[in-house]
Amino acid sequence: MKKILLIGVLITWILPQAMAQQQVAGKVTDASSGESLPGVNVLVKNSSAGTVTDVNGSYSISVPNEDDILVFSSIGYISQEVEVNGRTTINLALEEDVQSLEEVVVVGYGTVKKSDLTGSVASVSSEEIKSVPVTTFDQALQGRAAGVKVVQTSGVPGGETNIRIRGTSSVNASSEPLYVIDGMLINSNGGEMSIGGRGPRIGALSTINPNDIESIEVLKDASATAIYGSRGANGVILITTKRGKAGKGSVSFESYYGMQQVSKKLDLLNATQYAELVNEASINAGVEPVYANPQSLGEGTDWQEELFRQAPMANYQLSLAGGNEKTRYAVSGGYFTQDGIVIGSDFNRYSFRVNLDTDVNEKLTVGTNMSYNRISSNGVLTGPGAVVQGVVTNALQFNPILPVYDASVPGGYTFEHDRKPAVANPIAEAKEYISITGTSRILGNFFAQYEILDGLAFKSSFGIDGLTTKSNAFGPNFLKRTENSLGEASISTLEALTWLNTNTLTYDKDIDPNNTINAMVGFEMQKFRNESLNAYAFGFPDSRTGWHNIGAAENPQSPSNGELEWSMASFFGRVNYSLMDKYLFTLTGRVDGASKFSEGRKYGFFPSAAFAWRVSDEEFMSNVAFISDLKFRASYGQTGNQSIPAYQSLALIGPIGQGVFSNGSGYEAFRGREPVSYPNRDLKWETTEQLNFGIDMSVLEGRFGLTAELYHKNTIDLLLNTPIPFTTGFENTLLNIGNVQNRGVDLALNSVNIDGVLSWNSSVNVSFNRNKITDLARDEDINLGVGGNILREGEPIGTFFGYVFDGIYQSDDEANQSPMIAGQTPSAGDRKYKDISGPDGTPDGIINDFDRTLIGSAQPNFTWGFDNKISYKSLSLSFFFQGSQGNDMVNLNLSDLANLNGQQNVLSEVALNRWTPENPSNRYSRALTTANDNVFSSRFVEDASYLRLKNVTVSYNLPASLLERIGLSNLRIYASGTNLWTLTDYSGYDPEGNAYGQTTNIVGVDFGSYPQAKTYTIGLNLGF
Amino acid sequence: MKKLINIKTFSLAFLLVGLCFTACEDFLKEDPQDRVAQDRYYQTEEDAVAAVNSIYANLGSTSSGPEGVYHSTTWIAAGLASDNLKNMQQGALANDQLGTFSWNAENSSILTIWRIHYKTINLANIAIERIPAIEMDETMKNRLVNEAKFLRGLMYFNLVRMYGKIPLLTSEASALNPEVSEITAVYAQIISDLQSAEALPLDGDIQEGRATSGAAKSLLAKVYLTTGDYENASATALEVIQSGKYELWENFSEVFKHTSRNGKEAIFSVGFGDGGGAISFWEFGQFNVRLLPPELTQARDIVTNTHGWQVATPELYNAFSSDDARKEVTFMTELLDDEGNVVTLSEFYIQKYWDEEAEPNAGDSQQDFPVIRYSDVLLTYAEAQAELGNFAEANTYLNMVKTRANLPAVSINNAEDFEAEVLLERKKEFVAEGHRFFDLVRTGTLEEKVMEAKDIQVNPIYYLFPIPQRERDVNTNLPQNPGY
Repeated sequence: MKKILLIGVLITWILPQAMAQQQVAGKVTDASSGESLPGVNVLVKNSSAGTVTDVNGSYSISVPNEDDILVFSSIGYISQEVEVNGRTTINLALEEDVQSLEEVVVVGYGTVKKSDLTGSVASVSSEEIKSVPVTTFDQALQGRAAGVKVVQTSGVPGGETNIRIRGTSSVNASSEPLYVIDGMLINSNGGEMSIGGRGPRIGALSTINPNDIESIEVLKDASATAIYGSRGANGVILITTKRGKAGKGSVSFESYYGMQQVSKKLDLLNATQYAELVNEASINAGVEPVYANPQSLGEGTDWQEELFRQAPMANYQLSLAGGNEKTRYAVSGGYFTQDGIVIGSDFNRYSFRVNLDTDVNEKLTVGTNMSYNRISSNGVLTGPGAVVQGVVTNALQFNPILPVYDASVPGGYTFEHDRKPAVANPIAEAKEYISITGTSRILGNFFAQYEILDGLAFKSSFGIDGLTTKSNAFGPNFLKRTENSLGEASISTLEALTWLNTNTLTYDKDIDPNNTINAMVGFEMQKFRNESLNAYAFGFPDSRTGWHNIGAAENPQSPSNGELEWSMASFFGRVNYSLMDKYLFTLTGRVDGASKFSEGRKYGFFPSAAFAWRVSDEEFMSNVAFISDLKFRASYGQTGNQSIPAYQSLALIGPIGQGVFSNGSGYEAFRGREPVSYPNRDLKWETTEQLNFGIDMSVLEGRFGLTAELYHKNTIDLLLNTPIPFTTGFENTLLNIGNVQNRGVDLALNSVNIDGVLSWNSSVNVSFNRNKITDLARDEDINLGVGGNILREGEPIGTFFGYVFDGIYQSDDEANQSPMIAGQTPSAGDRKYKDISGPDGTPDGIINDFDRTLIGSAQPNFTWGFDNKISYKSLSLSFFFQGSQGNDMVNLNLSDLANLNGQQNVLSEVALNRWTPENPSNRYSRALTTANDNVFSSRFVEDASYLRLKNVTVSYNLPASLLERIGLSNLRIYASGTNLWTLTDYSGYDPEGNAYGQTTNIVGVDFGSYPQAKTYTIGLNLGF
Repeated sequence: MKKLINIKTFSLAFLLVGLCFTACEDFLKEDPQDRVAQDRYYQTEEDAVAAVNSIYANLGSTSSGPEGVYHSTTWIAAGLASDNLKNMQQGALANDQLGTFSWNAENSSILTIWRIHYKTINLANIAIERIPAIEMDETMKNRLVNEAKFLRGLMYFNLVRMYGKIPLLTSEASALNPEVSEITAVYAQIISDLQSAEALPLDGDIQEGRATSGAAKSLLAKVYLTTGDYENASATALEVIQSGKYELWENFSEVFKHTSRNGKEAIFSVGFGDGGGAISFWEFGQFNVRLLPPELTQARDIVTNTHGWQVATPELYNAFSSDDARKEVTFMTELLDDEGNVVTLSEFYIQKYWDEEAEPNAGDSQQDFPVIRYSDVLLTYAEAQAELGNFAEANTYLNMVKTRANLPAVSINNAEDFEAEVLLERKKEFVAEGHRFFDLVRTGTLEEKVMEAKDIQVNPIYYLFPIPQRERDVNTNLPQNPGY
C-alpha cells in the first residue's frame, strides 16, 4: 500500500515534468469591482498541479494537455471551470457567492444564516465593543442588546459586572449567563475563579482582552439556549475571536490614551460648617459645644479630593491576520494599563493570542485558538468592608477639621476620626495597605474537522482554561485596620483548571431546492478543579519586609486551603429543517449530567422547539414592495441552572459533638462525629420554561429594521435555601422549591436616517422585564438583612422593605401626640414615621415591625440604549446614550451622611438645610448628638433612573489617496469621551452599581462603592 | 473505502457515547478529598464509636445546634409545667407560659425540645443503620448499636409523653415531611429498642456514663408503668433491683456529691463540664446557674453566675415535713455572705445540685444530670406492685426511699391511697429532675395538683404539648394536637 502510494506521488510529480508542457498565465479579478483577486486557487482538474494568484491577481501554471480544465476557486466566490483549449492567456472575473456572503450568526455549536434563524439571538459587533474604552468586554455590552441588562457593580478597574439576560431567574443560584469563547464553555463564577482573600475581587472575565473579539452573540430564548441545557437558563453569551482570512495579510496597530476622573463628587461640609454642626448637635443634646471658634478652622481637608485623582489609561494592540487557501492565521499582542481614580488602585493586562486554521487536505481542517493573559492589579478596599469600612465610606465620613498627615504618630498619618473612631484614615488605608493580585490565564483549544461525506462533518475539539491567581497583601501596624492585628500579611493563591472535550457530527444537506436539512449531534465532557491556599499572619513590629517575609510575624495564623471539583457530561443535538426557505423548524435537545446533583438526579433533559415563517418570501407579499424582509418566530423550551456550589447534595461529616463521662474521681472527655448538613437526596436543576414570540422586519430595502420579541420565562424547582422539618435533624437545606417568573419585551430598531456622502445611522434598543417571585414555599418574607432587601411571594427580587418616612416633627406637642418608635421620645426636629398597622391590622399608635412595608424596587421599568453614527466623507461622529428607567436604589451611605449626630461628616444639602426652629424643614432632622433614630425607611430609597451619555467619539479616516502615498491601508484617529453626562435624581455618586454585586438576590444597594470614572481618550488605528 | 470511514467514525461516536454511559457514573461522582463525606465515613471501629459518641454529645450541650436534651430546657419545662417550679426568668416568655399553663404552638421551648430530640434520634438512626455494616469486633458492634437503641428509646419516650402522636423515624433515609404515627406504634418501637438494649453490659463492665443493661431495664420498667403494663413494669424493675449493681446512698445529701457521680445510685446520668479543659466549648451544667439565688453571687466573691431563674413553689416546699432529710438538702432559704452575715431569701431556691465543697464558685457546674436514679426504680416497682395488689411488697420498697429520707415507714393497703403516697414521694424525691409533668400526666392529676400549688385552672389540652407551629408550617403532614 505504502509503495503504491509512493510510486503514485512520484508519477504525478515526475511525469508532468517530463512531458511537453504548456504554460498558461493570466489575471483573476472580482467580477463586480474589477479589482484584482489575490489568493485564488488555480488547479488543473483531476491532477495535483496547482498554484495561487499573487498580490496582483496574476498566475502562471503549466498545463500538461491542451484540453485540460482549470479550476479557479476562492472563498466567497463561485468556483469556475475553464477549458484551456490551447490558450496561453486566460483572464477571468469571479462572481461573488452571494449566498455565502449573507450574514452568518454564530449559535451554539455552529453557525446559521441570519435569515434562517428561528431563535432569539442578539449580535454585538467588535466595533460596538471597541467604541467605549473598557477594561473588560462585559462592560461593553451595556445598552447594546435588547434584553441584556448590564450593571457595572462599581468603578473598580477590572471589577465585576452583573449581567441579566431577560431578568433574574434564580434566588440562591447564580443568575449570570454562560460565557462561551470560541466554543470553550468558560467558568465565570467569581467564587470559583478568584481568591476569596482580603484584597478586592477582580472579575473572572477581566482576563479576556476585548480587542481580540470579533463578535458577541447573546442567546436569549430557549430555542437558542437549550443546546447548552442545564447552563442555558440565564442566557448564553457567545464570543468569537478574530480569525485570519485567506488573502493579503493585514497588520494593524491600535492604541488609545485616556484620562479618567471621578464622575461626581459629593458636596460635604467643610471644617467650619462641620464644627458648627457638631456644636449645635451638642447644644441640642444639652452638652457643651465642642469647638470654640468654628470660623477659625476654615475649609479644612477635602477628603474626596485627597482620595480621588486624575488617572491615565492606555491601550496598545498589534494584530496580524491573513493566510492563503490552506492556512489562515490571526496573531495579536496587547498591553492595557489603567490607573484607578482612587489612589493606590490600578490594573494592567498583557495579552497574546494566536488563532490558526489549516486545511490538511480537502477533507481535514485542523486549528487552534490560544490566548495568554496576564493581569496585575493593585487594589484598595471599597464597599462595605469587613475589619474597617472601605476607603470611599471613610473619606466621606472623615472629620474635615483633621489633616491627612500627623507627623507625631507612628506612620505619620492621622490615625482615625476623633469623633467616630470606627472611621479610619482613608488615605493611609489606600496608600499603605498593599494588595497586589497577579493572574495568568491560558485559554487554548485544538480542533480537527473531517468531512466524512459531502455535507457530513465530524469535529472534535479539546480545550483547557488554566488560571493561576495570587494575591499578596500587607497592612503595616500603624493602620486602623491593623489596630488589633498589629500588622498583617497574607498570601493567597488559587489555581483553576477546566478541560473540555467536544465532539460533534454535523450533517448539512440540500435534499432538493425546497428541502434543506441541517442536523448536529454532539457529546461533551467538562471538568473543573481548583485549589486554593491562604496563609496569613498578624503582628509585624517591623513593616519593612511586608508580605515578602510572612515568617517574620509574631502571631502566625493557621493556614487554610481548599479545593473544589465538578464535572459534566452531556449529549446534545439539533435539527434545522427548512421547507421552501419559508418555513423553518428547529428542534434542540441536550442531556446534561452534572456531578453537583444527587445520585439518581444527575441527568436532566432540556428540549426546545422553534418555528419561523419568512412571510416576505410568500407569493402574496411580492406586491408589498416596501417590505424587504418579514419573519415571524415562535419558540418554546426548557433550560436549566446548575450554578450552585459543589457538594451540596452530600452529607459531610464534621468533628462536632463532644462531652464528658464522669465518675466519682473525675471525668473522661469523649468526641463524636456527625453529619453537618442535611443530605438532599433529590437535589437537581432549576428548570426554566421559556416561550418566545418574535418578529423581524426590514423595510425600504433595509433602511429600517425592527426586531421585537415577547417572552415569558417561568423558573421552577428553584434551588432555594429552605427551612426543613427539624425531624431531619437540621434547620434548612437547599431544596428545589419555589418559582420565579420573568416576562418582557425586547425591542431593537435600526435606521438609516440619511444615506449618501453624509450618512446617519441610528439604533435603539429597549428592554422591558417584569420579575416576580411566584412561589417562595413559605408565607413569611425572607429578609436578606442588607439594605432592606427582602424576598416576598408576589414581588420581584430586589424589593425594599422598611418604615415610611413622614417628614419632621415641627413641634414637641406634635411629637408627643404622634405614634413613636418603641423606646424613643422624639422632639421637634426629629423624624416621624407612618403608623400603618398593628397586631390587629390597624394603626396602633406605636411604630414597630407592623409598620414596615414595601418602599421600593430595584427593578427598572425598562433599560435602553441609543446609538448614532454620523459620517461625512472621512469624518464621523458617534454618540451613544444609555439608561435605565423606574428603578430605585437604596442609598445606604445616607445612614451616615444624613445623620446629624455630629460624629461623621455629612452632606451639605442635609446639614445646611437641617431643621431648626428658624428653618422648619420637613425633610432633614435637627442636629443632635444623641440621635438614635436611624431605622431603615423610605428616606434611604431614591429614584435611580438615569439617562447617560455613555460615549461620544469623533474620528477621522485618512483618505485612500493619502494612505497609498504613505504606504498604509488604513489610518484612523479619534477622540472620545465616556460617561460624560448623566441625568438622574440620585444623590449618590452613581445611579448604577451594587455594593453587593456578587450576590444574586441583594440588588440596588449603594454603600461606599468605588465610583465610576469619566474618561477622555484619544486614539489611533493604523493598518498596513 | 469511504463507507469504511463512515462506519469507523460512527462506531467511534457510538463508542464514545457507550463509554460515557459506563464511565460517566464515575466521572460525575462527587468525591471531595478536603472534607469527609458520609460515603467515606462509618468504615472503622473508630468511626462507629464516634458516631455513637455524637448521640451522647447531644444529651449534654452541643456546639452545633440548640442546647442538648438534658442541658436545661427539657427538665425545666417538665418542672414548670407542674406544681414543682415557677418561673422567675425575666423576658423568658416561653418559660412564663410553661409555668402558668398558657403556652401555645409558638412556644420556643416546646420547639427547642422537639428539635434537639429529633436531632439526637437522627444520630441514633445513623448509628443503628450504619454500624452493622462496619467490619469490626462483633461484641463491640452489638454494644454500640444497643447503646444507640437505648438512647433512641429514651428520646422517643420523652417525645411521645410530651407530644402524643409524632413522626416515628427509625431510618436515616426517612421522608423529608413525615407523617405522625399512633402512640401505640411509638411505644412498641421504644419497647423493642429497650429490649435490645437489655443486652448491654452491666454497670461496671462498661465506661461510666454509657448506657448499661440496668439503664435499659430501668427505663423499660418506667415505659411499662406509663403504658399501664404493671406486670412487666414490676418484673423488669425487679430485675434491676436483683442485679445487685445498685443501692441507695445512706444519706440523701450524698446523692449529689461529685464523688457520687455515676456511683451506686446513678443508673443513667449525663455529664457536664469542660472535662478539665478537654472540651472546647463553653457549656457547664445549668443547675446552679438557673436554680441558685442571684443573692449568692452578690454575697460571695467566689460565686459567679447564679440567677435563680426557676424556683420551687411554696406548696412544694411546704410538702416536706421538717423531719424530711431531703428538705434541707433540696432548698436554700437563706445564705451566709463572705462576712458571715445571714441573708434571708424571698423565694425557695433549689440547691441540691450544688456540691459546695467541690465547686465553691457554683456557676461552672460539673455536676451530672440524673436521668434515672435507683430510687426511681424502687418507686416504679412499688407503684407497679401496688397496682397488682401486692401491698406488702409495695410498702417495703416505698419505705426504702422514705426511710432514707428519715421519714417513718408506712403501711398502706388500698390502691388509691398508695398511688397518692407514691406520687407525693416522687414529688419530694425528684425535685427539678424533669419527672414531675410526666408523673402528673401519667396519674391524671395535672389539674388537681397545679390548682393546689399555683391556683391555676389547667385546661385539659395541656396534657400534651402542641406540635410546634414552625414544624407544622414546614411539614404540612403534621396534625395539631386537640385544643391548640
